[in-house]
Amino acid sequence: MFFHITLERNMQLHPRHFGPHLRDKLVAKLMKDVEGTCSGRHGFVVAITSVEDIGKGLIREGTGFVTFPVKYQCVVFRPFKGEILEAVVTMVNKMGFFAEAGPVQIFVSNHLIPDDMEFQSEDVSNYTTSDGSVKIQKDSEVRLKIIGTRVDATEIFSIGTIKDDFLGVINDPGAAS
Amino acid sequence: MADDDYNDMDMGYEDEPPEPEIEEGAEVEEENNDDVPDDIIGAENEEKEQEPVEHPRKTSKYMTKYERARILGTRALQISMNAPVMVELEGETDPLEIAMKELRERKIPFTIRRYLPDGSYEDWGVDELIVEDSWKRQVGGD
Amino acid sequence: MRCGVVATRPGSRSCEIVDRVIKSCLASFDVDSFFLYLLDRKSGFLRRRRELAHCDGLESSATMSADEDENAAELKIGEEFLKAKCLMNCEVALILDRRLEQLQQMSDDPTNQMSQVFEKSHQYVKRFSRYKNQDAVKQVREILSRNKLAEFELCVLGNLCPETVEEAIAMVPSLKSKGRALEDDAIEKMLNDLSLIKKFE
Repeated sequence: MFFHITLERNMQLHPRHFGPHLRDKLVAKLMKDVEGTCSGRHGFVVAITSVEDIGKGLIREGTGFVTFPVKYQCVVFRPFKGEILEAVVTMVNKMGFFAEAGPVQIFVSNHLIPDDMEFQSEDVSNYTTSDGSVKIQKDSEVRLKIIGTRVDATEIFSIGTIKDDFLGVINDPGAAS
Repeated sequence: MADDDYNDMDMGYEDEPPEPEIEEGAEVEEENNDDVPDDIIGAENEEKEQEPVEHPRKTSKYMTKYERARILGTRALQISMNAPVMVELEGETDPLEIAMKELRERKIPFTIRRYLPDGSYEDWGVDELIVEDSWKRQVGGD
Repeated sequence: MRCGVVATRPGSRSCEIVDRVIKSCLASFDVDSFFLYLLDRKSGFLRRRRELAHCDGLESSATMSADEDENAAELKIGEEFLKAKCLMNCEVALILDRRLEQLQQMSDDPTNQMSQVFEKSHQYVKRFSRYKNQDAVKQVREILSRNKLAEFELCVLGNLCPETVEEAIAMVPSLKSKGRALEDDAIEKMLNDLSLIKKFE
């Protein structure tokens, strides 16, 4: 799920930027530093939408650098256990399949794929029901439920399931299956 | 033996799991929130931001020689690191000399945060403080 | 007692006793036994103590970040996120579109500035936006917020657009939990309204 939250960060700024464009420099540096990062607590920072407040800078003794506390609003993506979302399948193998929901990788093990779906290693490997009516392959859109997350320093991995009511392939991207 | 005890005890305390060191708030503050390096706007900003001192400030309105030394040192360092200079230069090249000129013209964009023994503090803009005469001579002394 | 301990050497039997004392005193912090160990194998003990303290710290921080009982189905997503504003995919799409525009104005080559996270998110929300235009998005939020939903529930419904009441409850189990006065009829009406917007968009 995407969230719009307010975060805070202390930004160190080199003395050469202390001119009239100090604020712009600070915001540009903030975007460069923060966007695209990931923390276990807040998830992936997708985009900064606004800078709420730049506090008074504190001079770092001995270095000449100044630290500004910056409060900013940003869009973050954070998967939660128990959350249901839609994702795009990126890879299928006999262990299960990987799907992507925005920046997050989700793995669905074949234990968590309905029992009537079998792995087929044709030229495009896929999972298909015995009557062939439903097929999961690369680029399919699936609706899945996240049952666990693992947080790394720079990435969040999730485990999902499609073995539940109203989960599985979305045939027509416009309407739910 | 008893001495040993005490020494060991001390060591014990020293070897406690190190607390994460919180960086002390520096005394000097950059007063550069204003996009425009304009005197008046800078001053207004300052008034607005002095929320810790609602009551009149009680520390000296004179800049101490220690504050002066620290400000000149920090400012000179910043100037030596390519910080934009706030005054018109007339051929000066030495960072300390430029910092002194800035102080003389009250253009140093700092606020001094004076911590009091009870932990509270007062903020004084460098441009508010009086740099005493004899020091002024030094500041101007070239 | 202290003198006796001073005489012990690592490996000797009395040292084992000391070890045991230490283990028991780690919990209670009996001052006397604390002393005694310092005399004997101070460095080892201190290191162990520090390790323990370190582990404790790690443990507490790990549980804090891992959120052991985090469960979106029961709306346990942490205080911070519960209070934060959730965004539906279509809203994020609008935000990111505008952001991309901004960046394109700022520089000639926007692609090399974009982080992978941004790009992936942008593709994702574009693919899964139910509603494309801004007014529709506004209306959706309005309709959903009429029903006293938590932000998180609101956005799950807005993202997945369930068609039946059963589906909606399967997607957002918290709708029916904790004795909410949300009737099936109300849910159905809400879903109907949503599909109407979709139709007339």
